Amino acid sequence: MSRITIDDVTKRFGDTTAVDGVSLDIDDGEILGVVGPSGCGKTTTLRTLAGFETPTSGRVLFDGDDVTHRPPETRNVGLVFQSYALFENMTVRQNVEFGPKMQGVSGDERRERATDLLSMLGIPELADRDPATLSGGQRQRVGLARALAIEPHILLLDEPMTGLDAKLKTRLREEVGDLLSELDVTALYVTHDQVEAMEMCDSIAVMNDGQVEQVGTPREVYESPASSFVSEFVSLDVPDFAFVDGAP
Amino acid sequence: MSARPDGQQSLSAAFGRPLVLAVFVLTLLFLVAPIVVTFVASFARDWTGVLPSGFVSVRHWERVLGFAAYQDAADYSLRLGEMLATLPRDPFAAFGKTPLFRSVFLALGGVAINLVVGVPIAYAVARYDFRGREWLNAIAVLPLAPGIILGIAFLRAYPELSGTDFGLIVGYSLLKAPFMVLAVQSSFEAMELRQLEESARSLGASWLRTFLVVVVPNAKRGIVSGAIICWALAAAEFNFSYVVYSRGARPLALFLKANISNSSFETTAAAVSVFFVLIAGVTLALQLLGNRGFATR
Amino acid sequence: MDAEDAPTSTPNLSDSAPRSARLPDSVRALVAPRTERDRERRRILALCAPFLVLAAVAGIYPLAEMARISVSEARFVSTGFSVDAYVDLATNQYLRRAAWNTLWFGLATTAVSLLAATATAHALQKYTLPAEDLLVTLLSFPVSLPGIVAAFMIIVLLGNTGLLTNAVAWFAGESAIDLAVATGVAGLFIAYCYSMIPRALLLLRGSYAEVNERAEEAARSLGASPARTFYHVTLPQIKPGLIGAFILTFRTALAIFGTVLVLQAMRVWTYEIDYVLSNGFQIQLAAAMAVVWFVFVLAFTVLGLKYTSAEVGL
Repeated sequence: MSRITIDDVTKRFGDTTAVDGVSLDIDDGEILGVVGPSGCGKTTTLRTLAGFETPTSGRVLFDGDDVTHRPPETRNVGLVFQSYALFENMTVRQNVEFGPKMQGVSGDERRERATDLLSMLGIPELADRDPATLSGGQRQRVGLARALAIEPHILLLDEPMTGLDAKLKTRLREEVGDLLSELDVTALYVTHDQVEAMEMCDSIAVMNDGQVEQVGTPREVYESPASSFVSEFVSLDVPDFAFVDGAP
Repeated sequence: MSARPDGQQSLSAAFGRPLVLAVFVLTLLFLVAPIVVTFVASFARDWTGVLPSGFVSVRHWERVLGFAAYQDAADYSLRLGEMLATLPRDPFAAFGKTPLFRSVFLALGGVAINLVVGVPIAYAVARYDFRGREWLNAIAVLPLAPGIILGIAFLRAYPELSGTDFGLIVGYSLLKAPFMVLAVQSSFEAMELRQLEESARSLGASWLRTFLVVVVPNAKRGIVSGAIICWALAAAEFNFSYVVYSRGARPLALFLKANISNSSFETTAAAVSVFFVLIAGVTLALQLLGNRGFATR
Repeated sequence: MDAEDAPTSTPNLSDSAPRSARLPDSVRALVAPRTERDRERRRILALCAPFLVLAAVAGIYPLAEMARISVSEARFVSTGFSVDAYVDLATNQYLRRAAWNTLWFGLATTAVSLLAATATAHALQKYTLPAEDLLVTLLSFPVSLPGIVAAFMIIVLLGNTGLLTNAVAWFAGESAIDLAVATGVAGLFIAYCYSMIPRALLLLRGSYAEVNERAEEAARSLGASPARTFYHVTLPQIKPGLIGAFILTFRTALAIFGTVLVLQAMRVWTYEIDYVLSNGFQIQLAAAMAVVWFVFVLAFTVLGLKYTSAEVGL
C-alpha cells in the first residue's frame, strides 16, 4: 500500500470545470471517504486517481512518484464499481485471478491468492460459479476480491453499496470496513451516503461544486463543519448518528 | 376523448381488432404459404392440374443436387454428384465444382472481413463518445450502395478482380457489414462497457488485451449471430453476384436464378427448397443462440 | 506492493518531447499521447480504421471510379470531361419513364408494405396470439430471401400454374393462363411487397417494443376508443420508428433488381442499368444512371435523417 497525494488537480471538460484545484492526501493504510451531492466532482477525482482522466493541471503522486500521465493499466490501483462489472465469460476464480495473471504472477501463487481472498470474504464455495448466477451481495464481494488480488497501491470504491438493500448494506458495511482495516488497505471511498462514509472511513472529504469544502475525521466534520454547506450536507440524514467505539 | 354518451361502442372497438387480425393473418399466409407450397411441390412428380401430383418423388431434388441429369443439355445443378466423384481423386478441385461450396466459401470470406471490420466499429460507437459518432453510426448500419450499383462500381474500378473470389468476398463484406454491426451492437448495449473496460485495465490488462480477452468474449452471442446472419445474406446475394460474376462455379443465388429462368416449375421448386433448407438451418442456429430468426434487435 | 515494484514501462516523456515538438498538436497527440483522452482518440481511430479501409477500398474508391467514367470523353478510359452520358440520360424518354416507374412504384409498395407491417407488428405486440415465437420466426424467414426468390414465390401463388390462379380458375371455370397475373404489373407489385413487408416488420417490431403501454391503458380507461388511442397515444410513440422504416423500406424498393429481372413486368431504374450494360456494355451510361441513383438515395436518406425524427435501427 502507498501514500497517495492529489496535488492541486483541476479537470475541465470543455467549458465545465468538474474538479477545481483539489488537493488531498491519503496516508498509507488510511481510508478516505469522499462525499458530496451528485455532480460535485467526487467521481472525477476517483477517475483521476485511477488514470481514466488526465487532469487539466495538477499532479497525482503515488508514494512521491508522479503518475499523472501514466495509463491506468500501469498504476496498480484496485477498482470497485457499483455495477461490479464482473467478467461474465469467466468463473469467479478466473475473475479474481485475472489481475495477477495480467501482472505475470505465477499460476500457483495466483491460485493461492484467489483462494485466500475468497475465504477471507467468506465466499470460498463460489469459486467455480458463473458470475451471472450470483446475488448482488455475492457479486460485490467477488468484485472486491478481484480488486484486492493485485495488491493495489490504493483501492478505489465508487459507490459500491448503492443498489443493495438496506439490510445487506448494513452488514456489508461492517464486514468490508473490518476487512479493509485488517488488511491495512489505503482506500478512497466515494459515496453520496454520509452515514456509510462516516462508518467506514478514517477521514472524510466533503466536496461541492468541484472543490473540497472540508477534510477531517468523521467526528470533526460532523461536530464542527467548516461551512454551512458541510453542516447542511452532513446533518441531512444523520440526526442521531452514534459514533461507534474506536472510530476517531 | 370520453366514452360515448349514448353508450354505443365506437366503430374501432367493434371492428378494429378483427380488421387488424385479418391483415395479420393475410400477411402471414401471404408470406408463408408460397414457401410451404414450393417445398411440397418440390416432392411432386409434376404439377399440371390444379394441385401438384405424384408424391413422393425425389426426382427434382436429385436433379438440382446434381445426381440426375436435367431434361435438356444445360446443367443448372449444384453438381454434388460430380463433386463426390472427383473427391477421391482431387479433393481440392472437388469443392470448387459445386456452387454450394463455392458460396459457402465466398460467404465465409465475407464474414471473416465483417468480423474484423464490424466488431471494432460497433465497439467504438457503443463505448466511446466522439465527434461525428452519430454519422459514423449511420454509415456503418446503412448499406452504402445496393448490390447492383456496387457491382457496376466494381466492374469499373477493378475490371480484373471483380469477378474473382477476392472481388466477390470484398463486395459481400461491404454489402453485409451493417448486419454485423447491428447484431454486435445489440450485444454491446446490454453490457456495462465502460466499467468492464476500466475494471480490466485497472487490473493491469492493456487496452488491446482488454478488448480481446474481456470485451469480445462477453459479446460472443451477438458476434456469432451477426456472423450467421451475414453468412446467410452473403450466400443469398443475387444482384451483386449477377453483375460481377464471370467464371467458375455459380454462386448460390445465380444457381437459383438459372433454375428460375430455365428449369421446369417443379425442378425450380426443388432448387429454391434447397435454399430454404439452408436458411432454416441458419434460423435454427440463431434460435439456439437465443435470437428470434433474423431479428437483430 | 511497494512503489519499486510498479511497472515503469512508460516512455520517458522528457526525451520524446523535443522530437515531436515540431509536429502539430493533433498529430503529436496521436504519435505520443500524454493524456488519457489522447490515448482514447487513438483507440477510437484504431477501432474505426478497418471499417474505413473497407469502405474506402470497396465503396468509395469504386463509386468514385464509377462517377469518373460517367463523365469521361472516351468510352473505356477515364479521360477528359463530358456530360454526354447525362444528356443522353435526361433526353431519353424510356429512361424518364423508368425513373417515373421506379418512384411511384417504390412509394406505392412502401406505403402498402408499411400498412401491412404496422398491422402485423400491432397484432404481435398487443394481442395474445398462439405460438407467438413461431409466428415471429415464420414472419422473419423471408427477410433472408433474395429478390429472385420473392419473384418465384409470386409465380408459385399467381403464375400460370400458381396456387391462387388455379384455385380461382377452378371455381370460375376460366382458363388459368388468362387469370395469371404474376408477370404483370400487379404481380410485380405483390412481389415487391413480399420482399419489403418482412423488412418493415423487423423495424417496426423494434419501435413497438418500446411503446409505453401504461399510457395506452390510461387512455383506454379514460374512454378513448381503440382507434383514438392508437392515433393519439401509440402513433406518436412509434412515429420515429415509422419514419425510419419508411426511409429504409423505400430504399429497399428502389434497390430491387432481381425481382424485376425474373418477372420482367415493368422497366425500373435498376433494370435499365443492367439493360444498358448487357446490351453493348454502355458503361458510361450505366455509370451515369448509377450515379443518379446513388445521389438521389443519399440525399433522400441524409435529408430524411436530418429533418425528421426518424430513428434508424436497421
